[in-house]
Amino acid sequence: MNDTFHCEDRGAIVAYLYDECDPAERAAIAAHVSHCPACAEEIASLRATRTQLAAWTPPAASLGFQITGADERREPLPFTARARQAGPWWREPLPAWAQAAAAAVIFAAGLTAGTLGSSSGRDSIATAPEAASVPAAAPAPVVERVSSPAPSAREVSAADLARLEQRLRAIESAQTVNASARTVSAASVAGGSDGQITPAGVQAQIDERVAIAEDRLGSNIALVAAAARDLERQVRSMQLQDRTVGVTAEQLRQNLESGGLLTTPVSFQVRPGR
Amino acid sequence: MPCTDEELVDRSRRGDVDSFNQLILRWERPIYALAYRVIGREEDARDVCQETFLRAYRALPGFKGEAKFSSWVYRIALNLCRDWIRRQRRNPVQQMPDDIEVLEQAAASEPSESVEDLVARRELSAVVEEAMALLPDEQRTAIILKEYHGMTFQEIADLQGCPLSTVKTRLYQGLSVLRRQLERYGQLAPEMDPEHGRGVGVIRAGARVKRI
Repeated sequence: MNDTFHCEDRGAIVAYLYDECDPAERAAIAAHVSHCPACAEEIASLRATRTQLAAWTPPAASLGFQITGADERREPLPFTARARQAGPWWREPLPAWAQAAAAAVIFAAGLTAGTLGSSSGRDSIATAPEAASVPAAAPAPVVERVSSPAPSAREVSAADLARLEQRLRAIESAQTVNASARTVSAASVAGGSDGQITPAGVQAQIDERVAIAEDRLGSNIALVAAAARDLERQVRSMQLQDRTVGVTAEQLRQNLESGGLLTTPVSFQVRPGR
Repeated sequence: MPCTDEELVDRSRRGDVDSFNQLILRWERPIYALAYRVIGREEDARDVCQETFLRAYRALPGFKGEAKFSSWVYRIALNLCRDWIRRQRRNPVQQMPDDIEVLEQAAASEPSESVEDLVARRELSAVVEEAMALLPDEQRTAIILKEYHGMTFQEIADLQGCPLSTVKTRLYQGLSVLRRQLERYGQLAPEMDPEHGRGVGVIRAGARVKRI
């Protein structure tokens, strides 16, 4: 027996195992192991474990991060601020209110452009994207997709917008208040640039613009995808609040499929590429 | 002849962004692998990796070169991982997106490859991952740094801020737990458990470990 090593010296065993000991220590342990079956078995099994560990490979990831400019020094990464969320803000689903706001903006754009167009020719659909791109409150990606047709050369001035806003307000009150009130507000609208608007005419305009807006919304996959992601997130937060709800990923998937929400590909991730 | 890290750091400090990007290229894989093994989530590991290099870039003026560049970014990455784990403990998140991804992958896998083959190919890796998730953070990190990054006891001690003897103890205890878990796998290997998918991470560690 070598008196410089004892079976219970775990540190020495680890050093021997990883071959990170000085030659004297190594020789001492080797000598001990040669006639101590317990230590020999211990080291052999730990070696076998190490061999198994080598099988663990992380999933392949597309990395390719690059520093692109001086402003990277200041801009904080979404990661730091959004601990609980898997990705940066632009990967997150739009909240329901934002989707509603986007829908409202698109609707309003169609409505107002149509109203403008009625006084200057029938190009209301062509001008709608142009109007849609003006309000800053709308989530940009959604609006960009809606405004994919090339905008016409016509420009929207601040005065136009002010007029539109006035008209929208009037139409809104016409929808919500009773019939007599509607007449009054329509009359107040009539004080605007074109005096031909009647309640019936307004209603027809609304119907027409609603139909156009609905068409446009119907083709907007981005909103559907956002809704699907929002749904997923809501379910996830429900699970967080109450584990007993117990909605599984499979159930969620089935729900989404039965609702037709996964019939078009929904992208959950945007990967950085080189 | 390729530049050394020190040369690239030197140029980066003088404002050469390309040199820093070379450093990123050189170290992003190890840092991503480290982050993935420590926190067990692919997407978050990538975020940690990206954040590591952004922080390193911002802190470059203060980096005097008293440590190796690699040790320095490892330290940043480990700190970020530790922060991530703390936040997860406060607000555990269900791993739904990954699960869905696995389902999609399973649906899209080659028809020629049977489920058993698919499972077998990933089985040991998944079992190791699951066994590693059982370890306390310090033990797991020590083993990751030793086994997958080839660090010396002293380097691990420096990174973990503990005595060298503690590193050895952590390695020994961690390996012992892993040995026990993986021996069970060895006994089970012929009849494989198809339940093993991906994304078995730190978060699940407490929730489901039922080998035997």
